[in-house]
Amino acid sequence: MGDLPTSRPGDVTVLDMEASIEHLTRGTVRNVDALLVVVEPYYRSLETAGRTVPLAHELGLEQVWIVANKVRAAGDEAAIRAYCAQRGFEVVGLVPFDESVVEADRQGRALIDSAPAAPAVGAIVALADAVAARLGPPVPSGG
Amino acid sequence: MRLAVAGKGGSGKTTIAATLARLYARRGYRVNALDDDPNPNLGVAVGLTADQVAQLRRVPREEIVEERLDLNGQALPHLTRPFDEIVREYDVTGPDRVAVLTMTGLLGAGKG
Repeated sequence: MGDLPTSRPGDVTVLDMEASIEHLTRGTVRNVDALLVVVEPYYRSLETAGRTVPLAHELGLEQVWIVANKVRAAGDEAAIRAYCAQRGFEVVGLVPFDESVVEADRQGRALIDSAPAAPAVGAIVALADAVAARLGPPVPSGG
Repeated sequence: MRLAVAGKGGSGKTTIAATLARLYARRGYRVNALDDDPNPNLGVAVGLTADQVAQLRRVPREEIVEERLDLNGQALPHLTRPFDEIVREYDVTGPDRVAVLTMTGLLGAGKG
């Protein structure tokens, strides 16, 4: 898909993508500055990311980063970081397992409205900071 | 800044994408949240009301996209109208003025 809003200062596009990697195409990635691949701390999720990341690179997307989600224990984090380190994947965010997310879903509400002080929200704030720092967008337009 | 968020169903990608959208909007960015998932839930996760979700119309592929061949002879979908026009016509504006669009199937390979 061509001509998504280009990186105009002050614009952000967040694209919630198809889950399956077959739907990543050269057409999609050419319009994306960075791909966040969300993984959970279990083998099949990591293996899927293990295929998605190189595919995205092959299609010409350089900035492909891992976000670890639903992390419950130190062992989860260690396993994800080890897996990523072995493959040269960069982890840019780590979001803890958080019942607030389940509850927001149950209520049909946005997490940030349902539980603004939840640990998961704080972790996503840190993720927003990390991504913005890497992509270096200019000061927002205030629009 | 154009971010794509991918992951298996149930991984939490929609919650993360939606929360990022709201956060960047609060920082002053003009945010478009595009839902390419076959089960479009991004609107709810961004904070649209039930009425607003009911207003969401999938952007019609035929109206918007035409295939063109790139230099390698590969078909690449292109917009036939400026993206801003598409946003104005099809978006539903949620909290923090995040513009939500449902684009299921428009951004992948061989989808109709």
